[in-house]
Amino acid sequence: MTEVELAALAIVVAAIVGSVSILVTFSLLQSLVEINARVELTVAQEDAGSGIVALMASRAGQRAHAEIIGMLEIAEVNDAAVTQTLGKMGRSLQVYDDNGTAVKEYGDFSGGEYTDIALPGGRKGRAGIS
Amino acid sequence: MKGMGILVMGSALIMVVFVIIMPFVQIFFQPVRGEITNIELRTEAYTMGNALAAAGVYMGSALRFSAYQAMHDTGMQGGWDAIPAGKSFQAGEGSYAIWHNGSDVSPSEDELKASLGKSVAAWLGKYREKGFRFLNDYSVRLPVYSPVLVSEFTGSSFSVSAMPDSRMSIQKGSQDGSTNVLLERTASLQDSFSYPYLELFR
Repeated sequence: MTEVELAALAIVVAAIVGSVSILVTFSLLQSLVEINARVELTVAQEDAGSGIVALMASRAGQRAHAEIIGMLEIAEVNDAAVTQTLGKMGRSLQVYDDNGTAVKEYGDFSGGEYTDIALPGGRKGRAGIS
Repeated sequence: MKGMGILVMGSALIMVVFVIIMPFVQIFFQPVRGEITNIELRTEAYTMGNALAAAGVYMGSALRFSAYQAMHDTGMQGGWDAIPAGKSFQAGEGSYAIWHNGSDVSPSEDELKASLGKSVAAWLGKYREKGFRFLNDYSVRLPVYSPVLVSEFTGSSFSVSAMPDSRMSIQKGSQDGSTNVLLERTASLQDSFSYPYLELFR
């Protein structure tokens, strides 16, 4: 073989070896990458307000707390009893009338979220419960 | 031979460089293959369910307040939602019902029940027309309640049933518009009251 033929043969062999190396490397790297590629899927279920519903729907005697809270502005209320009930439930309460005036506050309400409440006389107020 | 050695070494070096560089080039052009993706699906379905439950409680207390107000209003009209012609008399600025005019003309139990039901329905309408909002952001659509039925006055108690024209519902879509959740809940109302209301008119 002449030197030129040897050189050509060497280039061909190098090209074949190189191509195989590239393919093998690609395959390995892709496998590694695919193993590491993951989709972190989080399903977050928001369940806000369940405590408020529980409080409003629960009863004290024959009346639901929603009705009692609605009557706080007009009724002679035993504030100590209300405070004690809310304390047992770990809650604070702020009640607004239909004009947006705060009529009752029990504890420190800082939740910032309000829920409509029915008031006597066809009126609607708001209660902040946290 | 020295020239050929250099050529072979050069070719091998080029191959090595290819082997090192090409995978990164491929990854660069196909970024999805190697991307670690965090997707958080935040669903408010439970909170929406709580909003519906709270709306049910709201309308439950609205029914009680409506019944109290209706008992007062109906009583002030002598047992009618509107005093029938010929059964009222004027005294000053007030109009009063006549219960006895040679014979008993007071409202019958059925008339009293019908009047009370109409009044309760009117007051319930005031509560439902204002809608219901839960935790600032959750608005519940409330149905129209009609008719409102008052049961027989049994002893000193009676019950009131309000029939809705539809279910109460809440609908909320995601900001990108990809999801839209609609929840519905039965909306009929019923409660009982322990007042000797009929006896007031006898």
